[in-house]
Amino acid sequence: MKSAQPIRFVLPDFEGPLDLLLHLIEAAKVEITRIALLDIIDQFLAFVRSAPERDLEQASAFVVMASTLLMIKSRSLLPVHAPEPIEQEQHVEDVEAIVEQLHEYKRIKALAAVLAARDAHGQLQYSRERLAIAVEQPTSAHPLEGITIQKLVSVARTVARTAAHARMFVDHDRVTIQQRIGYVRTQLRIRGGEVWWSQLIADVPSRLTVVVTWMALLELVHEGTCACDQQQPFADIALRLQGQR
Amino acid sequence: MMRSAIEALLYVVGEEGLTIAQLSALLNAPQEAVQAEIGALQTAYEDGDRGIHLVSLGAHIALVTKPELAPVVSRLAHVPRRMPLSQAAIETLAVIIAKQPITRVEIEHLRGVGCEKALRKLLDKQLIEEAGRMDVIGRPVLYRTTQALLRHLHIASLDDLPSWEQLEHADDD
Repeated sequence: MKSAQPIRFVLPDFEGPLDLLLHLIEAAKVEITRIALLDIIDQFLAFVRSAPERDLEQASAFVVMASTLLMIKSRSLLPVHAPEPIEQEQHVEDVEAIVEQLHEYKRIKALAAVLAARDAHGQLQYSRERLAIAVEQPTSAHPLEGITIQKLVSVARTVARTAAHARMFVDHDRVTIQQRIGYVRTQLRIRGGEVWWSQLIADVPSRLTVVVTWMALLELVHEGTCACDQQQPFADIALRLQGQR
Repeated sequence: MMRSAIEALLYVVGEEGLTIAQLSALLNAPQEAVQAEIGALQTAYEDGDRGIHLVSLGAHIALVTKPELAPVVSRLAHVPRRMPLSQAAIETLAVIIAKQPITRVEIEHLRGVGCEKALRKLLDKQLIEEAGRMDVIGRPVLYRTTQALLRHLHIASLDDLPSWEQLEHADDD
Protein backbone atom coordinates (compact mmCIF):
# COMPACT_ATOMS: atom_id res chain seq x y z
CA MET A 1 0.00 0.00 0.00
CA LYS A 2 1.03 3.55 -0.60
CA SER A 3 1.56 5.39 2.66
CA ALA A 4 1.21 9.06 3.47
CA GLN A 5 4.93 9.75 3.85
CA PRO A 6 6.58 11.44 0.91
CA ILE A 7 7.58 8.73 -1.52
CA ARG A 8 8.84 9.49 -4.97
CA PHE A 9 6.49 7.94 -7.46
CA VAL A 10 7.26 7.24 -11.04
CA LEU A 11 4.71 7.46 -13.83
CA PRO A 12 4.49 3.70 -14.36
CA ASP A 13 3.14 3.43 -10.79
CA PHE A 14 -0.06 4.94 -12.09
CA GLU A 15 -2.36 3.71 -14.79
CA GLY A 16 -2.75 7.25 -16.08
CA PRO A 17 -3.42 10.87 -15.10
CA LEU A 18 -6.84 10.02 -13.62
CA ASP A 19 -5.22 7.39 -11.43
CA LEU A 20 -2.69 9.94 -10.20
CA LEU A 21 -5.33 12.62 -9.58
CA LEU A 22 -7.47 10.15 -7.67
CA HIS A 23 -4.48 9.11 -5.62
CA LEU A 24 -3.66 12.72 -4.72
CA ILE A 25 -7.25 13.44 -3.70
CA GLU A 26 -7.46 10.30 -1.62
CA ALA A 27 -4.10 11.05 0.01
CA ALA A 28 -5.57 14.40 1.06
CA LYS A 29 -8.52 12.47 2.52
CA VAL A 30 -11.16 14.65 0.86
CA GLU A 31 -14.19 13.98 -1.32
CA ILE A 32 -13.89 14.26 -5.07
CA THR A 33 -15.09 17.84 -5.61
CA ARG A 34 -14.15 20.92 -7.63
CA ILE A 35 -12.42 22.38 -4.58
CA ALA A 36 -10.39 19.23 -4.02
CA LEU A 37 -9.37 19.16 -7.67
CA LEU A 38 -8.25 22.79 -7.65
CA ASP A 39 -6.23 22.12 -4.50
CA ILE A 40 -4.15 19.33 -5.95
CA ILE A 41 -3.39 20.88 -9.33
CA ASP A 42 0.01 22.10 -8.13
CA GLN A 43 0.95 18.68 -6.81
CA PHE A 44 -0.07 17.07 -10.09
CA LEU A 45 1.95 19.54 -12.15
CA ALA A 46 4.99 19.17 -9.90
CA PHE A 47 4.78 15.44 -10.24
CA VAL A 48 4.54 15.42 -14.01
CA ARG A 49 7.39 17.94 -14.27
CA SER A 50 9.68 15.80 -12.12
CA ALA A 51 8.80 12.44 -13.64
CA PRO A 52 11.20 11.00 -16.17
CA GLU A 53 9.49 10.41 -19.49
CA ARG A 54 10.00 6.84 -20.52
CA ASP A 55 6.84 5.62 -22.12
CA LEU A 56 5.94 8.34 -24.60
CA GLU A 57 2.37 7.21 -25.16
CA GLN A 58 1.64 7.14 -21.45
CA ALA A 59 3.52 10.37 -20.79
CA SER A 60 1.45 12.17 -23.40
CA ALA A 61 -1.75 11.40 -21.49
CA PHE A 62 -0.22 13.05 -18.43
CA VAL A 63 0.87 16.08 -20.43
CA VAL A 64 -2.60 16.55 -21.93
CA MET A 65 -4.14 16.46 -18.46
CA ALA A 66 -1.44 18.82 -17.13
CA SER A 67 -2.24 21.37 -19.82
CA THR A 68 -5.96 21.17 -19.10
CA LEU A 69 -5.30 21.64 -15.39
CA LEU A 70 -2.95 24.57 -16.10
CA MET A 71 -5.72 26.22 -18.09
CA ILE A 72 -8.18 25.64 -15.27
CA LYS A 73 -5.75 26.97 -12.73
CA SER A 74 -4.94 30.12 -14.66
CA ARG A 75 -8.66 30.84 -15.11
CA SER A 76 -9.33 30.35 -11.44
CA LEU A 77 -6.65 32.91 -10.59
CA LEU A 78 -8.33 35.64 -12.61
CA PRO A 79 -10.25 38.25 -10.61
CA VAL A 80 -13.81 37.08 -10.15
CA HIS A 81 -15.41 40.16 -11.72
CA ALA A 82 -13.15 40.28 -14.73
CA PRO A 83 -13.82 37.17 -16.85
CA GLU A 84 -16.44 37.25 -19.49
CA PRO A 85 -19.51 35.17 -18.66
CA ILE A 86 -18.87 32.67 -21.45
CA GLU A 87 -15.37 31.97 -20.26
CA GLN A 88 -16.57 31.52 -16.72
CA GLU A 89 -19.11 28.99 -17.95
CA GLN A 90 -16.46 27.11 -19.89
CA HIS A 91 -14.28 27.08 -16.82
CA VAL A 92 -16.94 25.45 -14.65
CA GLU A 93 -17.69 22.94 -17.39
CA ASP A 94 -14.03 21.90 -17.69
CA VAL A 95 -13.68 21.39 -13.98
CA GLU A 96 -16.95 19.52 -13.72
CA ALA A 97 -15.93 17.26 -16.60
CA ILE A 98 -12.77 16.16 -14.80
CA VAL A 99 -14.58 15.75 -11.49
CA GLU A 100 -17.14 13.56 -13.26
CA GLN A 101 -14.33 11.56 -14.92
CA LEU A 102 -12.76 11.02 -11.52
CA HIS A 103 -16.01 9.76 -10.05
CA GLU A 104 -16.36 7.31 -12.92
CA TYR A 105 -12.74 6.26 -12.68
CA LYS A 106 -13.11 5.57 -8.97
CA ARG A 107 -15.89 3.09 -9.77
CA ILE A 108 -13.77 1.49 -12.48
CA LYS A 109 -10.97 0.95 -9.97
CA ALA A 110 -13.40 -0.53 -7.45
CA LEU A 111 -14.74 -2.98 -10.04
CA ALA A 112 -11.18 -3.72 -11.22
CA ALA A 113 -10.25 -4.69 -7.66
CA VAL A 114 -13.16 -7.15 -7.54
CA LEU A 115 -12.11 -8.60 -10.91
CA ALA A 116 -8.46 -8.91 -9.90
CA ALA A 117 -9.46 -10.82 -6.76
CA ARG A 118 -11.65 -13.19 -8.78
CA ASP A 119 -8.92 -13.60 -11.40
CA ALA A 120 -6.48 -14.75 -8.72
CA HIS A 121 -9.10 -16.74 -6.82
CA GLY A 122 -10.11 -18.88 -9.79
CA GLN A 123 -6.58 -20.18 -10.11
CA LEU A 124 -6.69 -21.68 -6.65
CA GLN A 125 -9.63 -23.95 -7.39
CA TYR A 126 -8.93 -27.18 -9.21
CA SER A 127 -11.32 -29.34 -11.14
CA ARG A 128 -10.97 -32.74 -12.73
CA GLU A 129 -10.91 -33.50 -16.40
CA ARG A 130 -14.00 -35.20 -17.70
CA LEU A 131 -13.76 -38.94 -17.02
CA ALA A 132 -13.08 -40.72 -20.30
CA ILE A 133 -15.52 -43.41 -19.30
CA ALA A 134 -18.22 -40.81 -18.99
CA VAL A 135 -18.47 -40.25 -22.70
CA GLU A 136 -18.40 -43.83 -23.89
CA GLN A 137 -21.62 -45.48 -24.90
CA PRO A 138 -22.98 -47.87 -22.31
CA THR A 139 -21.59 -51.30 -23.12
CA SER A 140 -23.83 -54.24 -23.75
CA ALA A 141 -24.18 -56.91 -21.08
CA HIS A 142 -22.62 -59.45 -23.41
CA PRO A 143 -19.30 -58.15 -24.68
CA LEU A 144 -19.20 -60.60 -27.59
CA GLU A 145 -22.74 -59.95 -28.68
CA GLY A 146 -22.96 -59.52 -32.45
CA ILE A 147 -19.40 -60.68 -33.04
CA THR A 148 -19.22 -63.56 -35.47
CA ILE A 149 -16.43 -66.08 -35.82
CA GLN A 150 -15.73 -64.69 -39.29
CA LYS A 151 -15.21 -61.24 -37.86
CA LEU A 152 -12.82 -62.53 -35.20
CA VAL A 153 -10.81 -64.34 -37.83
CA SER A 154 -10.62 -61.26 -40.00
CA VAL A 155 -9.51 -59.08 -37.10
CA ALA A 156 -6.92 -61.67 -36.08
CA ARG A 157 -5.56 -61.72 -39.65
CA THR A 158 -5.23 -57.95 -39.69
CA VAL A 159 -3.39 -57.99 -36.38
CA ALA A 160 -1.10 -60.78 -37.55
CA ARG A 161 -0.30 -58.94 -40.79
CA THR A 162 0.50 -55.71 -38.99
CA ALA A 163 2.65 -57.55 -36.48
CA ALA A 164 4.57 -59.29 -39.25
CA HIS A 165 5.20 -56.00 -41.02
CA ALA A 166 6.41 -54.44 -37.80
CA ARG A 167 9.01 -57.12 -37.28
CA MET A 168 10.24 -57.00 -40.83
CA PHE A 169 10.62 -53.30 -41.26
CA VAL A 170 11.30 -51.86 -37.90
CA ASP A 171 15.04 -51.48 -38.45
CA HIS A 172 14.84 -50.14 -41.95
CA ASP A 173 12.08 -47.72 -41.43
CA ARG A 174 13.41 -44.33 -42.37
CA VAL A 175 10.64 -41.87 -42.73
CA THR A 176 10.56 -38.11 -42.47
CA ILE A 177 7.77 -35.75 -41.51
CA GLN A 178 8.09 -34.15 -44.95
CA GLN A 179 7.45 -37.50 -46.63
CA ARG A 180 4.42 -38.14 -44.49
CA ILE A 181 3.10 -34.62 -45.15
CA GLY A 182 3.35 -35.43 -48.84
CA TYR A 183 1.54 -38.71 -48.24
CA VAL A 184 -1.25 -37.06 -46.25
CA ARG A 185 -1.67 -34.35 -48.90
CA THR A 186 -1.93 -37.00 -51.61
CA GLN A 187 -4.51 -38.94 -49.62
CA LEU A 188 -6.52 -35.78 -49.05
CA ARG A 189 -6.48 -35.04 -52.78
CA ILE A 190 -7.43 -38.56 -53.79
CA ARG A 191 -10.22 -38.77 -51.28
CA GLY A 192 -11.80 -35.44 -52.09
CA GLY A 193 -10.38 -33.32 -49.28
CA GLU A 194 -11.34 -35.53 -46.37
CA VAL A 195 -9.63 -38.55 -44.87
CA TRP A 196 -9.90 -40.53 -41.66
CA TRP A 197 -6.91 -41.04 -39.41
CA SER A 198 -7.54 -44.77 -39.47
CA GLN A 199 -7.23 -44.69 -43.28
CA LEU A 200 -3.92 -42.83 -43.07
CA ILE A 201 -2.34 -45.44 -40.86
CA ALA A 202 -4.08 -48.48 -42.33
CA ASP A 203 -1.04 -49.73 -44.20
CA VAL A 204 1.86 -48.24 -42.32
CA PRO A 205 4.54 -50.74 -41.47
CA SER A 206 5.60 -49.57 -38.02
CA ARG A 207 4.71 -47.62 -34.93
CA LEU A 208 7.41 -45.13 -35.81
CA THR A 209 5.65 -44.34 -39.06
CA VAL A 210 2.39 -43.88 -37.18
CA VAL A 211 4.11 -41.39 -34.90
CA VAL A 212 5.70 -39.54 -37.81
CA THR A 213 2.35 -39.49 -39.63
CA TRP A 214 0.80 -38.00 -36.53
CA MET A 215 3.51 -35.31 -36.44
CA ALA A 216 2.86 -34.62 -40.12
CA LEU A 217 -0.82 -34.22 -39.35
CA LEU A 218 -0.06 -31.80 -36.51
CA GLU A 219 2.18 -29.82 -38.83
CA LEU A 220 -0.57 -29.58 -41.45
CA VAL A 221 -3.04 -28.40 -38.81
CA HIS A 222 -0.47 -25.97 -37.45
CA GLU A 223 0.14 -24.36 -40.84
CA GLY A 224 -3.61 -24.15 -41.38
CA THR A 225 -3.80 -26.53 -44.32
CA CYS A 226 -6.15 -28.91 -42.52
CA ALA A 227 -8.51 -29.08 -39.61
CA CYS A 228 -9.19 -32.05 -37.38
CA ASP A 229 -12.43 -33.21 -35.92
CA GLN A 230 -13.02 -35.90 -33.34
CA GLN A 231 -16.54 -36.57 -32.15
CA GLN A 232 -15.51 -38.00 -28.79
CA PRO A 233 -12.40 -39.27 -27.01
CA PHE A 234 -10.89 -42.37 -28.68
CA ALA A 235 -13.09 -41.99 -31.74
CA ASP A 236 -11.58 -41.86 -35.21
CA ILE A 237 -10.26 -38.47 -36.30
CA ALA A 238 -11.47 -36.79 -39.46
CA LEU A 239 -8.95 -34.65 -41.30
CA ARG A 240 -10.17 -32.19 -43.87
CA LEU A 241 -8.65 -29.56 -46.08
CA GLN A 242 -9.45 -26.14 -44.69
CA GLY A 243 -12.19 -24.27 -46.44
CA GLN A 244 -14.05 -27.49 -47.38
CA ARG A 245 -16.90 -29.05 -45.55
CA MET B 1 -31.76 -38.70 -3.76
CA MET B 2 -31.71 -35.96 -6.33
CA ARG B 3 -28.99 -34.15 -4.41
CA SER B 4 -26.65 -37.14 -4.48
CA ALA B 5 -27.44 -37.71 -8.16
CA ILE B 6 -26.49 -34.13 -8.96
CA GLU B 7 -23.26 -34.55 -7.02
CA ALA B 8 -22.43 -37.76 -8.90
CA LEU B 9 -23.13 -36.23 -12.31
CA LEU B 10 -21.04 -33.16 -11.56
CA TYR B 11 -18.21 -35.36 -10.31
CA VAL B 12 -18.16 -37.42 -13.48
CA VAL B 13 -18.49 -34.55 -15.92
CA GLY B 14 -15.56 -32.71 -14.33
CA GLU B 15 -14.23 -29.31 -15.36
CA GLU B 16 -16.82 -28.62 -18.07
CA GLY B 17 -19.69 -28.66 -15.63
CA LEU B 18 -23.37 -29.03 -16.46
CA THR B 19 -26.15 -26.49 -16.86
CA ILE B 20 -29.36 -26.54 -14.84
CA ALA B 21 -31.17 -27.47 -18.06
CA GLN B 22 -28.83 -30.42 -18.69
CA LEU B 23 -29.18 -31.66 -15.11
CA SER B 24 -32.93 -31.25 -15.33
CA ALA B 25 -33.03 -33.40 -18.49
CA LEU B 26 -30.68 -36.04 -17.06
CA LEU B 27 -32.63 -36.33 -13.82
CA ASN B 28 -36.02 -35.94 -15.39
CA ALA B 29 -36.85 -33.27 -12.83
CA PRO B 30 -38.10 -29.68 -13.12
CA GLN B 31 -35.42 -26.99 -13.31
CA GLU B 32 -36.67 -25.24 -10.16
CA ALA B 33 -36.20 -28.44 -8.16
CA VAL B 34 -32.68 -28.91 -9.54
CA GLN B 35 -31.88 -25.30 -8.74
CA ALA B 36 -33.09 -25.73 -5.16
CA GLU B 37 -31.08 -28.93 -4.67
CA ILE B 38 -27.96 -27.24 -6.02
CA GLY B 39 -28.44 -24.46 -3.51
CA ALA B 40 -28.76 -27.01 -0.71
CA LEU B 41 -25.71 -28.90 -1.96
CA GLN B 42 -23.63 -25.72 -2.01
CA THR B 43 -24.75 -24.83 1.52
CA ALA B 44 -23.70 -28.30 2.68
CA TYR B 45 -20.28 -27.89 1.06
CA GLU B 46 -19.69 -24.42 2.48
CA ASP B 47 -20.97 -25.20 5.99
CA GLY B 48 -19.40 -28.63 6.34
CA ASP B 49 -15.79 -29.63 6.61
CA ARG B 50 -15.56 -30.38 2.91
CA GLY B 51 -12.74 -30.09 0.37
CA ILE B 52 -14.85 -29.29 -2.65
CA HIS B 53 -17.63 -26.90 -3.51
CA LEU B 54 -19.63 -25.71 -6.50
CA VAL B 55 -18.75 -22.82 -8.76
CA SER B 56 -20.72 -21.18 -11.54
CA LEU B 57 -18.96 -21.04 -14.88
CA GLY B 58 -21.46 -18.95 -16.75
CA ALA B 59 -24.51 -21.15 -17.15
CA HIS B 60 -22.52 -24.24 -16.16
CA ILE B 61 -22.01 -25.49 -12.63
CA ALA B 62 -18.89 -27.47 -11.74
CA LEU B 63 -17.24 -29.13 -8.76
CA VAL B 64 -13.87 -27.67 -7.78
CA THR B 65 -11.57 -27.84 -4.79
CA LYS B 66 -11.85 -25.01 -2.28
CA PRO B 67 -9.32 -22.21 -2.78
CA GLU B 68 -7.92 -22.51 0.75
CA LEU B 69 -6.80 -26.05 -0.09
CA ALA B 70 -4.65 -24.89 -3.00
CA PRO B 71 -1.39 -25.37 -1.03
CA VAL B 72 -2.26 -28.99 -0.25
CA VAL B 73 -3.46 -29.77 -3.77
CA SER B 74 -0.34 -28.31 -5.32
CA ARG B 75 1.75 -30.73 -3.24
CA LEU B 76 0.21 -33.55 -5.24
CA ALA B 77 0.67 -32.00 -8.64
CA HIS B 78 2.25 -28.80 -9.80
CA VAL B 79 -0.39 -26.97 -11.79
CA PRO B 80 1.17 -24.26 -13.92
CA ARG B 81 -0.34 -20.88 -13.15
CA ARG B 82 -1.19 -18.48 -15.89
CA MET B 83 -0.03 -14.91 -15.52
CA PRO B 84 -2.63 -12.77 -13.76
CA LEU B 85 -4.15 -10.05 -15.91
CA SER B 86 -2.30 -6.72 -15.80
CA GLN B 87 -3.84 -3.73 -14.04
CA ALA B 88 -4.39 -2.06 -17.43
CA ALA B 89 -6.21 -5.15 -18.74
CA ILE B 90 -8.30 -5.47 -15.58
CA GLU B 91 -9.36 -1.82 -15.68
CA THR B 92 -10.18 -2.04 -19.37
CA LEU B 93 -12.24 -5.13 -18.65
CA ALA B 94 -14.03 -3.31 -15.83
CA VAL B 95 -15.03 -0.49 -18.19
CA ILE B 96 -16.32 -2.92 -20.81
CA ILE B 97 -18.32 -4.89 -18.23
CA ALA B 98 -19.94 -1.69 -16.96
CA LYS B 99 -20.50 0.14 -20.24
CA GLN B 100 -20.75 -2.46 -23.01
CA PRO B 101 -21.06 -2.27 -25.92
CA ILE B 102 -18.37 0.40 -25.99
CA THR B 103 -15.70 1.71 -28.37
CA ARG B 104 -11.99 1.98 -27.71
CA VAL B 105 -12.13 5.78 -27.66
CA GLU B 106 -14.86 5.74 -25.01
CA ILE B 107 -12.85 3.30 -22.88
CA GLU B 108 -9.76 5.48 -23.22
CA HIS B 109 -11.74 8.54 -22.17
CA LEU B 110 -12.95 6.76 -19.04
CA ARG B 111 -9.51 5.43 -18.12
CA GLY B 112 -7.62 8.52 -19.23
CA VAL B 113 -4.99 6.45 -21.08
CA GLY B 114 -4.54 4.38 -24.23
CA CYS B 115 -5.96 0.86 -24.09
CA GLU B 116 -4.89 -0.72 -27.37
CA LYS B 117 -2.51 -3.25 -25.83
CA ALA B 118 -4.94 -4.19 -23.07
CA LEU B 119 -7.77 -4.64 -25.60
CA ARG B 120 -5.64 -6.88 -27.77
CA LYS B 121 -4.72 -9.04 -24.79
CA LEU B 122 -8.36 -9.38 -23.71
CA LEU B 123 -9.38 -10.27 -27.28
CA ASP B 124 -6.59 -12.88 -27.45
CA LYS B 125 -7.84 -14.46 -24.27
CA GLN B 126 -11.40 -14.29 -25.66
CA LEU B 127 -12.64 -12.53 -22.55
CA ILE B 128 -14.10 -9.86 -24.84
CA GLU B 129 -15.20 -9.84 -28.47
CA GLU B 130 -16.19 -7.40 -31.15
CA ALA B 131 -19.86 -6.51 -31.16
CA GLY B 132 -20.31 -4.82 -34.51
CA ARG B 133 -19.58 -1.18 -35.20
CA MET B 134 -21.02 2.04 -33.90
CA ASP B 135 -23.10 3.94 -36.43
CA VAL B 136 -21.07 7.16 -36.38
CA ILE B 137 -18.36 8.58 -38.62
CA GLY B 138 -15.42 6.17 -38.80
CA ARG B 139 -17.66 3.31 -37.68
CA PRO B 140 -15.53 2.37 -34.66
CA VAL B 141 -15.57 -1.21 -33.39
CA LEU B 142 -17.71 -1.93 -30.35
CA TYR B 143 -16.59 -4.40 -27.69
CA ARG B 144 -18.54 -6.61 -25.33
CA THR B 145 -17.81 -9.41 -22.87
CA THR B 146 -18.02 -13.14 -23.64
CA GLN B 147 -19.30 -16.33 -22.02
CA ALA B 148 -15.65 -17.29 -21.53
CA LEU B 149 -15.29 -14.29 -19.21
CA LEU B 150 -18.00 -15.70 -16.89
CA ARG B 151 -16.13 -19.01 -16.84
CA HIS B 152 -12.87 -17.18 -16.16
CA LEU B 153 -14.32 -15.22 -13.25
CA HIS B 154 -16.29 -18.18 -11.85
CA ILE B 155 -19.60 -16.34 -11.92
CA ALA B 156 -23.02 -17.26 -13.27
CA SER B 157 -23.68 -13.86 -14.83
CA LEU B 158 -22.39 -10.31 -14.71
CA ASP B 159 -25.18 -9.57 -12.22
CA ASP B 160 -23.02 -11.35 -9.66
CA LEU B 161 -20.59 -8.44 -9.81
CA PRO B 162 -21.30 -5.20 -7.90
CA SER B 163 -23.49 -2.87 -9.93
CA TRP B 164 -22.29 0.49 -11.21
CA GLU B 165 -24.48 2.15 -8.57
CA GLN B 166 -23.04 0.05 -5.74
CA LEU B 167 -19.52 0.88 -6.87
CA GLU B 168 -20.15 4.59 -6.38
CA HIS B 169 -20.24 4.00 -2.65
CA ALA B 170 -17.52 1.37 -2.59
CA ASP B 171 -14.94 2.10 0.06
CA ASP B 172 -11.32 2.22 -0.91
CA ASP B 173 -10.26 -0.54 1.40
